[in-house]
Amino acid sequence: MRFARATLCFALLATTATSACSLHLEQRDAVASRRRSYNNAFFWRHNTQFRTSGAIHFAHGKQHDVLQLGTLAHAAEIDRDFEAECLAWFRDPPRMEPTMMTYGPHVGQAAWRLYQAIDWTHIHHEQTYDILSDRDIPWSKKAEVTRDAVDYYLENLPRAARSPAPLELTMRRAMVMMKPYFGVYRNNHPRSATFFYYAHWWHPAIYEAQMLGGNGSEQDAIVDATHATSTEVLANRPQRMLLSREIMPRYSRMSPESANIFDNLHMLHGIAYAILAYDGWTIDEKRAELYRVVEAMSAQPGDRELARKFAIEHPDVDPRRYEPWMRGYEGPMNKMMEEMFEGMWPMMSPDGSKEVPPEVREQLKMKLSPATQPGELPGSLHDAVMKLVPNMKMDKEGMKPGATPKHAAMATKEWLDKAQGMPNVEPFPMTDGAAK
Amino acid sequence: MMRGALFLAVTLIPTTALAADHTNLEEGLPVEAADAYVVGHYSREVQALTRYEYSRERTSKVTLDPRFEWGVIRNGQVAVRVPVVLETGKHVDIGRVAADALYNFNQETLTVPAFALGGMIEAPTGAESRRKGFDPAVRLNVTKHLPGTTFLHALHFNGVWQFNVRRDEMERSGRYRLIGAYSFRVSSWIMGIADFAHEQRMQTGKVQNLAELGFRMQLTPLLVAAVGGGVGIGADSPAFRAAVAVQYRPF
Repeated sequence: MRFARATLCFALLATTATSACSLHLEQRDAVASRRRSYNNAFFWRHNTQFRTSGAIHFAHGKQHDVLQLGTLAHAAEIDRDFEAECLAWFRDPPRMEPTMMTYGPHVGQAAWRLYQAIDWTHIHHEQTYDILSDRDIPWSKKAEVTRDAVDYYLENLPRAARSPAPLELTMRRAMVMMKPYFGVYRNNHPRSATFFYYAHWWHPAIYEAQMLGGNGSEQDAIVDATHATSTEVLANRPQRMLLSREIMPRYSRMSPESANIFDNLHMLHGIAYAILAYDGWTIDEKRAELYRVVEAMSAQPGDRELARKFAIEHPDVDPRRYEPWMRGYEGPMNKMMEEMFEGMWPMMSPDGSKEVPPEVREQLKMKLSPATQPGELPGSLHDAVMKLVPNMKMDKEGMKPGATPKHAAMATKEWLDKAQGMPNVEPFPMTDGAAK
Repeated sequence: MMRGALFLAVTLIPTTALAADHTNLEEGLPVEAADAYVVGHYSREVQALTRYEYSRERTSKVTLDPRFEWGVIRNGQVAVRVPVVLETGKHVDIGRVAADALYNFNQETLTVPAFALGGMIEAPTGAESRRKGFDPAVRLNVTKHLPGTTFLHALHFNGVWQFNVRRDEMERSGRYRLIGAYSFRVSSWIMGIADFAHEQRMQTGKVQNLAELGFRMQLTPLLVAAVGGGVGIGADSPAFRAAVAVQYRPF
């Protein structure tokens, strides 16, 4: 009896102490993955690729702690060592896919909701690979079963689920360009950043290989051949984040929701790394900003209706080929960032002019590229632009951790208006035995 | 002894498909310590534990402990277990059937551990069912990972108080169990756990201590296997114990 009383007192004391100290407390709210007959199909059918996905997710998890526990002063050394570790894991991938907490426990304790969003979406990755891998699901049913997986993903953890709307919308909601961390990760950790550019080529390339292969044995051959392209891509990495619509146009047409969810996740990775790499904020401030971005890029009412609002430039891409257009700066991701900046500029320029000065545009391009380019001004994009245009009108409140810049609402509305006139991308015909 | 070994072998054969998450520590799988986290909402998990115990009196006991665990609400789980016990010189017996619930209150932060409170009720069966009552228990689980490192290392505390509703003359009115544990990542798919369990037995004056080491291995995305063992410390403790277990999400 004495023990029971002591236990109760301990629990009450702990609860009182934690609430009194206004410590950041939240519930875990874990939800199990959808249990269906297709579970494990990717694991058994494409085990090499399953394990490669595990290596990539190891890198994602550990990068959080490496950046948070490291310092910008030692960034070059940290970047070199971490890239070497990522490549070693790529060569000898893990047997299982680790959760973010497994190799990044420090940040997991500081900002749990970030990990919840990432892990929940990685489960969606795994399930959608499973669906395409499972021979027992007729090809004509793949879209329907994928839609069911998307429903489960969106409905059960709406705050953790990434938006099914295109990145053009969610990036405007998040509006991170003039935050003090923007560019810090790409500038100071270019080897790691481009490893993830490779990873974000690999994930969609494997989906597209499955789409090309169909249910039969051709899927195995095309997936293996696509995976083999990794060597070439790693040796000459993309200089931008590749979008789902670029590398997996067929899959994006079959499940635009799922494709956008992955783009939103991949961009969240990059923003989270920039926030953690930035050394001007405390961990509490970083959490406030991380949670703001997690929220801004989450699934929100009306997002699903916008899922098909994107254009496909290369509908017949072959994922086995690493095309020249996949490698450089030019592409939809950076075009989107430049358009956002152009939209913000009239509100920032001292004289209200609409034209972005050439020297500012040049700095923007350099800040959107990995590593420090010749002629690039140090610091964030904000720092560089302020040096060129000292009288620039700044939204000082919007730069603070956890605050949404005032440009966000207007930019979001502008894009929503524009989206009304945009045609929907066509569904992909999924007929039995004809994947192409 | 032979019958015990046979039981162990038979139990292991059919358990090829069974779990969930090797980082989520479960009581008895394979060591006594559990963490403060529960399975995900909607998770339905079958668990099968086989434990061999050798006493200082040179008797063997094999416990086959099948369980069903369900993430019935967000942050809460319930489980039922129906153990079967085979002991040297005794008939095969159904052990104490138990139902328990555990609720996790919070995700830990850099400074605040995770807390979970639970309740359990054990029902007497077999030989003792006529003279024993339903014994409820309460438990507190606390988990804290070590901050400032990329190693996944954590400290755990479990405290249990069990009431003895229909006590015999030589029994306590209730008993406690205290467990301290340290878990550590071995690889992406293997977790290690070392624990020390100190508990009172219901018989007056008897306490048991056990030092254990176990490993939990994620074999497939749905299947976890666990192996472990421990040695007893003190006259009332078993000489040693070994356990193998599997967990699986069948539906």
